[in-house]
Amino acid sequence: MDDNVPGKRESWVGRFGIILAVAGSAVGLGNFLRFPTVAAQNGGGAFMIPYFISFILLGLPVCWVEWAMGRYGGKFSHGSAPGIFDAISGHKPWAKYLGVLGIIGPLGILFYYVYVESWTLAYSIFAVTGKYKTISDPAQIRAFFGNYLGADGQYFNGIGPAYLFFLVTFVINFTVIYRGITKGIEAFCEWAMPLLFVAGAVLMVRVMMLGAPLADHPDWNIKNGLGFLWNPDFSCLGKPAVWLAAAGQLFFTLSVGIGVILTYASYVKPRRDIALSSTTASSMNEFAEVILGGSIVIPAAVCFFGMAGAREQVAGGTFGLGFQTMPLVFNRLPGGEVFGFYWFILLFVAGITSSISLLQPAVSFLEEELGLTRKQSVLSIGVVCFMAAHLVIFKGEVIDEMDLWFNQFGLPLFGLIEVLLFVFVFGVDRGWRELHEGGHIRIPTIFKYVVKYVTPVFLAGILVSWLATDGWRKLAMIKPDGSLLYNDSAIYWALATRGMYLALIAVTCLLVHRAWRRKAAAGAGAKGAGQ
Amino acid sequence: MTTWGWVMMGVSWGVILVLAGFCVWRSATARTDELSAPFDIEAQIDREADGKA
Repeated sequence: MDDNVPGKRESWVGRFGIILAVAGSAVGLGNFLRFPTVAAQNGGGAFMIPYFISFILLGLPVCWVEWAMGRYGGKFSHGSAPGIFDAISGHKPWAKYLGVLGIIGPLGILFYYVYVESWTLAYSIFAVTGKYKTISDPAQIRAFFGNYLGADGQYFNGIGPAYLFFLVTFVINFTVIYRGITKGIEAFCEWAMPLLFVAGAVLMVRVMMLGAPLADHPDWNIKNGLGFLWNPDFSCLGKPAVWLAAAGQLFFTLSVGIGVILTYASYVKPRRDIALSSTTASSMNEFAEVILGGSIVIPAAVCFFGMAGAREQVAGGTFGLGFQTMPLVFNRLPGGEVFGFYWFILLFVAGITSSISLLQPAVSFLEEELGLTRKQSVLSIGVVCFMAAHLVIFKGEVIDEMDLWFNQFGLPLFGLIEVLLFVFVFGVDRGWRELHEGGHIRIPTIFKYVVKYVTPVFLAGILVSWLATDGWRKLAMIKPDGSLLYNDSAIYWALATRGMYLALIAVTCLLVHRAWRRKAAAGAGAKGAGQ
Repeated sequence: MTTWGWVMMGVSWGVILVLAGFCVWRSATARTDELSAPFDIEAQIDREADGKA
């Protein structure tokens, strides 16, 4: 029997459907670019100690909280945070408004994520067509990247190619979402995720076989490349910033605190497993991050640029590593066109599986709470995203501002709200029962106490530490030296971005208010008709 | 790569491979009608409630 008939709520069909979709949401550009950079900058192998502690005390517990609350909300046909929070709170009037962050948060990230994702598609085409093949100098590849993004240069005539690739990426995302949970997201992730793991494994094996590729630099070899990432600097463990970086990376990589898992879990049938599925999705993400992500970029950079060169590349940040270092690496490899294509397609697929998950909460909200059709919902969200993305395309500096509010600040804030609701409103015992309904594994009881006592304190600690050290300056647009974070007109665009987010939050609050009034009126009407 | 580097890499990879391997194996082999956990949990929560009372 087809479960996805008109009028009936969709659900995941395959055994691995939800697992691959959530793993796909979690595995993104950050696994292959951000993790190795953050690890190398924060103590190398020693970084894994706070990283694993954060995984156990923060990552997994918040995942379980989101899966349990999400599926519970789905039983009442709620697929987005406002409805789910309303259901778990027993219809407390304030709870649904807290859920607004679970809709605007993912959209706020999507505004810039789709554009960054489109760069990977473009570079995969450039790799096979040999567009950057002749470049061997870091300054030239930087100029190539800048020229692609609209700066003057000899490689591209304006921003046209970047805009074209953005349009293609945008259409792919919205086509998948328009097809729905089963035929869109699940069907896409079922082939995309195995492809991603295979491409990652092929690249990892190729990098591991590099040995010492440059005869005149025998110490630029794979062993030292792995050492660059894994040799521990235990003195870093005494620095709070390292613990903060580990917890931040963990939160970022698992896709928790966005509202995406709440939405995906709401489409799990009531008595189907979520305890094992949530743990499987998280562990698949860790495999992609630590084993695949940790074995490609940094070791390859050391093999071709040496330790000092790799240190410079790491200091250049994640975009520099992905779009400047790696093309140069592939240019020096036999068959570099093919491996370059593999690398950027890997990033593109990882990006798409993440970005479609960022869209679904808003689409679910419009469909289920406001009664719009799928077409109307996707079109409405599409128009908003299309307009906001232009801010990023033509004023690239706003990416930092967008990332600040909904990634660095928004994720731990919304995660904390979720955990507090789970502990104090839904109830830990009730939540634990929900998590294990239909479960194929039993999560050790000690984690119930971790969720209740440790995770909220840990999360609050992260948020307060971030605000006290770096966060308040960024929110106030001030650099550590006291000067303004943005120069000239950039400050007006940064302020415009903040205004846009505030407006979106206000409009979504109004829509939530209207949706519940509409439901109340419909309920009263049905009661009246029954009498 | 120092000895400690190999140790950190080996332990990290080992933990993740064991966890991911177990979870994928269990997900692939679990019967969809296998519902053992909730009853254990219910019983445990009831026991805890009795203890408090």
